[in-house]
Amino acid sequence: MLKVINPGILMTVQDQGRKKHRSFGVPMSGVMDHYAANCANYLLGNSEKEAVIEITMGGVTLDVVEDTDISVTGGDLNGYINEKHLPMWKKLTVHSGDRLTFKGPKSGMRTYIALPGGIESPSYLGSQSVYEKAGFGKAFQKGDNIKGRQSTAAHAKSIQPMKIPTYTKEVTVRVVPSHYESSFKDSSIQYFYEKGFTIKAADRMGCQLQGHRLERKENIDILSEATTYGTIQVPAEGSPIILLADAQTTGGYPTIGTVLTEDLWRIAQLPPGGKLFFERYPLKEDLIERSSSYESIDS
Amino acid sequence: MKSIRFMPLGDQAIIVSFGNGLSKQVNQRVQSFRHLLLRQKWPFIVDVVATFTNVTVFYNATKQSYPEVRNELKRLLEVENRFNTKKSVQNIYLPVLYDGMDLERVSEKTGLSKKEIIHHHTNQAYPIYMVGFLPGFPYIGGFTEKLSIPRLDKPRNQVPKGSVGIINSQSGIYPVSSPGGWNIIGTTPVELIRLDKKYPFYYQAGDYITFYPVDEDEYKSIRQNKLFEPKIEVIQDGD
Repeated sequence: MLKVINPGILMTVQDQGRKKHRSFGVPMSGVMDHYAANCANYLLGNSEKEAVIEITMGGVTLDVVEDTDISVTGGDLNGYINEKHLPMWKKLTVHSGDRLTFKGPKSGMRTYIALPGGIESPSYLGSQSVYEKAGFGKAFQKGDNIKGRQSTAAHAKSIQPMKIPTYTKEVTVRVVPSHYESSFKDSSIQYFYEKGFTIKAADRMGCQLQGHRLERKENIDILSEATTYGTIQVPAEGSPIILLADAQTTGGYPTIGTVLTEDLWRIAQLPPGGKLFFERYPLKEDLIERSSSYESIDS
Repeated sequence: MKSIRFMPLGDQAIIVSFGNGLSKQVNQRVQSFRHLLLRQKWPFIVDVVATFTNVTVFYNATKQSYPEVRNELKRLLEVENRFNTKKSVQNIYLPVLYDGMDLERVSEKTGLSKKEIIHHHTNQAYPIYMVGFLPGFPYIGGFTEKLSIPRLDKPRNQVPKGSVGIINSQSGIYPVSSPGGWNIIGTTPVELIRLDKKYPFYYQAGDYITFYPVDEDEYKSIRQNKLFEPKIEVIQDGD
């Protein structure tokens, strides 16, 4: 068991999210970096459905009040166990009296902590993911206890070094074009895929980009449509916003595309000031390439 | 079938579009298709979201590819008219205290008296075109053009929970406090997200809401009554 001494900027319980309630306007939520969170669970032999702790940016101090196995993955927030650097991407055992601190980002933005058997916390609509706006749980506060369902890992596993991602300040992500792409000026589409954007600000709801302003051929009124984690909206003033895990489920701004699911973790780990490049990735062609059997039904 | 378009939303969702303009007819098609789709209980479908003119189908891309899902949907649309499109939906009666901070201005802009605004907003079942923007926020349509008023130029930083607003000829309800740009004409005392329930929401897209006016005393007593349940009737809807 861990006790929160300082929750930092934002520390919440997250799991795979609420994928079945979007028709009620409930955001997906869930971990921002699925790969890192899955690895944290894997190291302790947990199911990947188990909830983990997501720490954003650091500033966190946790005291160990009962011995427990633990794994820490994701961005490197300069973690310490007492006076020693905290080893990441492996199973550890921490002892009562130890103090864990996460001082701040060295690389990446978000760290994940898994405990054996998952985290004990209330579930809302089938998920433990905290989404405060609707009252689905609360971010950790000073004095809160964090309990694992067990104290020892079911099966300790390891991750090959080559499977551990490097979190850089410049990433490229693939984008499936939206049906509104053609409403943007050709020069703006060209710019979007050729020049990079800078992360101006980001939270769990969205990521504001700074760069060339994207212009539309004409102003058309758009009726609200469904959006998802990774949808890139372009409000009238032209600076794109990428919707993230806690974003609203519908939006009335034209979209230029949606980031490929597999690439979302790269955005989740990109700090403010980081550079983001987009690669156009139409879905149909890709599927034809991957499997020729799709050709016949793709006419 | 000709006017129906299929478009990807990323690599795990497909948008089925039934038209570009908002009309009750187009939205009826959206709701019918969503119901039909949910009845199929296809294992690769994760979630189905109805919006004004679209049905967006979130699928499990590890089980089914985009062209496969699209072809399944096409096949279903081809045989859609063989199914009985009548469906049971709910009509939820929601009390409203018409004391909204924008009521005066709405009255000036529309040229309707407060009494007339209340009259046009109540005592009839209006369809929920979609739920979005906030958890449980319904976009309710079909109100008279006389109630048409644009969105606020500058959204408010905080619109209180329970606020009932109008934009154009639509009405919406804020189930939680949030920034927002709707013209607020009243407040409902009903708690719209019930965290202690397995199904925390009273309604979904395709259901109906009937507003009715209450005075301050009734408002307070409903608010204080933890056991208050709005009246809900099941009605048959469809072609």
